[in-house]
Amino acid sequence: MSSNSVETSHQQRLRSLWLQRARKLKRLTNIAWVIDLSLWPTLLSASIAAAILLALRKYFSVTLVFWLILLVVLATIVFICYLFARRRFISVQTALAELDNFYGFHCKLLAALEGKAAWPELPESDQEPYTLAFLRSYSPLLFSIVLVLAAARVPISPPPAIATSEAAKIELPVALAEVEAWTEKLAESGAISEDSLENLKQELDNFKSEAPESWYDHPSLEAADTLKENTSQQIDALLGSLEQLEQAVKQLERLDLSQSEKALLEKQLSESVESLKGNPLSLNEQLMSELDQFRKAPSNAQSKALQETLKNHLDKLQRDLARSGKGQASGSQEQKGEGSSPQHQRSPTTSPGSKPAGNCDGNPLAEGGMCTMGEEKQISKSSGAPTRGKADAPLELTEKPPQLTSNRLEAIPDQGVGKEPGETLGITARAPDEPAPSRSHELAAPFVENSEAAEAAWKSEFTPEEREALRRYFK
Amino acid sequence: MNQTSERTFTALDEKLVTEAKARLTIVKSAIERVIFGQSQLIDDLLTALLAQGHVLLEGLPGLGKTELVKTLAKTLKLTVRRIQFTPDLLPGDITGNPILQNTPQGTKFVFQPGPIFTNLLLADEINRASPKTQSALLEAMQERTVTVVGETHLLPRPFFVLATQNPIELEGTYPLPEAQLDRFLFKLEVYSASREVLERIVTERQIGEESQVEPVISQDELSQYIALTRQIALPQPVANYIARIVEGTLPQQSKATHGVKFGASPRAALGLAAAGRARAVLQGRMNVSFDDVEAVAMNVLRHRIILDYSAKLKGRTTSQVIQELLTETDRLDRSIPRTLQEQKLEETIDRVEADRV
Repeated sequence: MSSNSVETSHQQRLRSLWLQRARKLKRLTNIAWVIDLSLWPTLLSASIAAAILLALRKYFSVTLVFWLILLVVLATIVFICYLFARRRFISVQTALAELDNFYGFHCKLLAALEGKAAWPELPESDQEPYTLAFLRSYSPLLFSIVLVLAAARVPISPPPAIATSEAAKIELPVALAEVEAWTEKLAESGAISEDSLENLKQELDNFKSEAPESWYDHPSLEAADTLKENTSQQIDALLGSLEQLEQAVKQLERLDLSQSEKALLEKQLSESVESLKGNPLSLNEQLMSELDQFRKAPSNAQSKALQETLKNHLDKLQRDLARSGKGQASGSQEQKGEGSSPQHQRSPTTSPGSKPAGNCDGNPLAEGGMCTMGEEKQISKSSGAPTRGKADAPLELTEKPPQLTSNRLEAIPDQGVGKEPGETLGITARAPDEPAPSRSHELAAPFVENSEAAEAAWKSEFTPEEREALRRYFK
Repeated sequence: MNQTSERTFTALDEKLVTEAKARLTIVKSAIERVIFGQSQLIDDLLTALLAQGHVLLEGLPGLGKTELVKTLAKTLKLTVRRIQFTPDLLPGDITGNPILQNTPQGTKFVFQPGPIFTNLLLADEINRASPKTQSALLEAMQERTVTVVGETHLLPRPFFVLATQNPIELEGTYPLPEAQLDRFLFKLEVYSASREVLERIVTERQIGEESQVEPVISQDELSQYIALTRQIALPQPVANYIARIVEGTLPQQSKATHGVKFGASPRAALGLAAAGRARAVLQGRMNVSFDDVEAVAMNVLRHRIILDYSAKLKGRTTSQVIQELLTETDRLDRSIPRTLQEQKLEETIDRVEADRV
């Protein structure tokens, strides 16, 4: 009884061990099938993914969504391959048959599985009939990973600037940018009424509310230039009036004024105040009330205070506007003593002969060498067309954004560029060649001069090329 | 897996198989003392006996076919009858005839059994009889009964037909009908002996001298071994292998069957399984293996495949077809993925088996 039970338990142990081995082999074979069927689809999908990745990196941006989609696609492919591979999966019985063949048991394991034979003893080594061929199994997989990683890491030019909304931002036309800068300076000075500033900002906002693509249309540029022109005139008028006021207040302070002079100054003061009232850029209410009060009952104390206030406002406005490209403040200072009308002189639009003092230094939009307002005015006047800004507006979304902020001209070394064939490139500065002296008398007479001097004189008329040709011919 | 464990193996079965192997080895040795140089042929004969299959021996006259059968009968202590098939042989000469006899009940026809009523029937030169006479053996070979004038008579057990035939190219021969050929489990080809064997025959035998062979096993023992053979396990993958081989013999089923007109029948599959079991017993195993099937496939299928004329003209033989088929057919009905690398066994299995013993 004991020997039988020992034999039975031994057989049970052998059975479990052999089945364990068979299951191991089954797992290995089935995994190998999944890998085998997944190789080409994985390689193919990795290639496609790499191509898509490169395209995304080139033209768009690679987000986490892409990686998630790639992961899902790969998982789906592997799952489909698994479904196909399932048809070829082996059973434990087949694995036992493989082990039978491998160990040469003549199907004893199969018979033992069916309970018709004893389980054979386990061999000492746990050698398997098959092993996974690493090179064949993993090389396509590794290649796929390397392919995708290479596509993800390989240096590539960034996506074109037009792709992002930030990069595609279109700058305001120059005229409007300048008006905007002036508005800011006027607001900072505190001399201008809130209503006037609001009106000015409203006009700017109206323009900005249009589609940026239409800012550089001809009507829009016309409108921008008109706005700039008007604003410039209003500022000039404002500054002129303030200066006149300041001068008038200063003169009224003098004690040696005759009645006629005093009346003239008061008239000038009244005209200036009226002019200020008629200007869309009106002074703030407090200053206007002070002026009105001074005009009605001028006093020395008021005069001092008013003079000081006006001077401060005037200086600040001139300084700030000069910085922001309003080319008038310094010019007005230079031309102060010339006796001409300040308004007439300071208006860059009305005095093309004067040298505007404005420059691009204080204008953030003019960084990079934008021309001065005065110069631009001259250009626009001479060409008879509205200014179109710093450069041509971008008409299409190209990979390389146009150099809108550059006004540099590249030197063109080849003078023939743009010329028609046969067109004259230029005329040298040297004097035109003297016509050759008539040698008809020499030709008429028999040619007897064959001396060296005559030959030298004859040869001297040749060009270097002709001389070289003769030298070669007679060599 | 659980359902396959219902019929459990017993140590007694294994002991019986081992004993059968030993006894049949003795039989083989006894035959080899008379028939020289035909070891494989004797193995095949014993295999057919254990599988209860009939054998068709083909070879030129004088190669020892009849002597082999007679020796086998003696060693197995079986009753043996010999019928020399001739063109004028009638079916009644084989099966027996009803004869009018005076009996206590009166005069009536009494069945007189023919030579077929024996354990071992030696049908010598079977292809010299007409197809009609040859067909008289059909029922006996398949059902192991004989029906004469409406009366069916049971043949003795075991019953084997060992037929010899001359190559059909010889004069005065008739081809065996396909139906009868199919009833032979094996068709064995007998070849001329080698020079060494011939020398031994000349040295040890005299012409006309009857060989003296003692019976080795009894008829009961043989019946017991035959019953044991039927219990030998046929694993499902091996059965699948047999099915694929037989299916592969059908025309257009595989590359190997190019030129095949008719393939093997399901009887061939049964024959393969039975012969495989018998060989397993002779090898001392409790189960059929792929090797057993491969070993008997040639003998089982050789006479069951009919080639067309084009193949015959090209000199293609059924043996070639079977050899190609066996090479082409994988043992296991599965394919190995390319990502798997086949290994070679470092450890010899003999040692494992030795340890177990």
